[in-house]
Amino acid sequence: MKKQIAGILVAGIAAMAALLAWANAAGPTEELLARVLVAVLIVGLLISLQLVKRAHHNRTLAHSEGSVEKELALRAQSAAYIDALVIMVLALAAIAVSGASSFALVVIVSAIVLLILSFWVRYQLEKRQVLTGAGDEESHS
Amino acid sequence: MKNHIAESRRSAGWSQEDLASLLSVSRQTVIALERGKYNPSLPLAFRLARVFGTTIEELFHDEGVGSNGSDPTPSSG
Repeated sequence: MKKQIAGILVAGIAAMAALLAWANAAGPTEELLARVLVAVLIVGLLISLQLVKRAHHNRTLAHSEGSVEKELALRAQSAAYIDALVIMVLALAAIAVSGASSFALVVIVSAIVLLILSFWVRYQLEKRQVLTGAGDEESHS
Repeated sequence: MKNHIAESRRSAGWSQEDLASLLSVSRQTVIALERGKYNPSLPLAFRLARVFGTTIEELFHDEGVGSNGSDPTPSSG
């Protein structure tokens, strides 16, 4: 799954870079088209990543009813929600103070990365706490 | 909460993966259950009891409850 996600991300970023380069070089009409395509690409990327994750979870039964992974994800989401509130308030304050549109874009992207990191770190901590020493027993009898 | 899942599984001659497959959960779930680090949902507890042909009470026991089923916490009265 990690290889698939990395592949999708690399392909998506490469396509986005090409589209943005085209947007900067092209005239006003084509620039708008290129920016719309970038927006479509970002949404498509997100959907693709979710589909890969869901396929993996279905295969490993990781998110089936009663699975520990589902419970851990719920706990991490609950904790990350508070982080999200703090991060978004700080991002909003930074944008309000600076007022610059290019800086606002950096702040928003940073906030999204921080939100994802917040969930991931909390999920790993919960997983470590619950599954420490896991895998020490045979998987087949 | 303590449980007898590991012992029951070994008695049945199943691997963790076999039990996970029978319960339709991940192997990590079985590991966490056996280590007592994860309390299952009620539907999963019923599935466990059904798979082992026993009752939830026989599989799980609350450490705070005495062997005769009485609550050891002193009453205020």
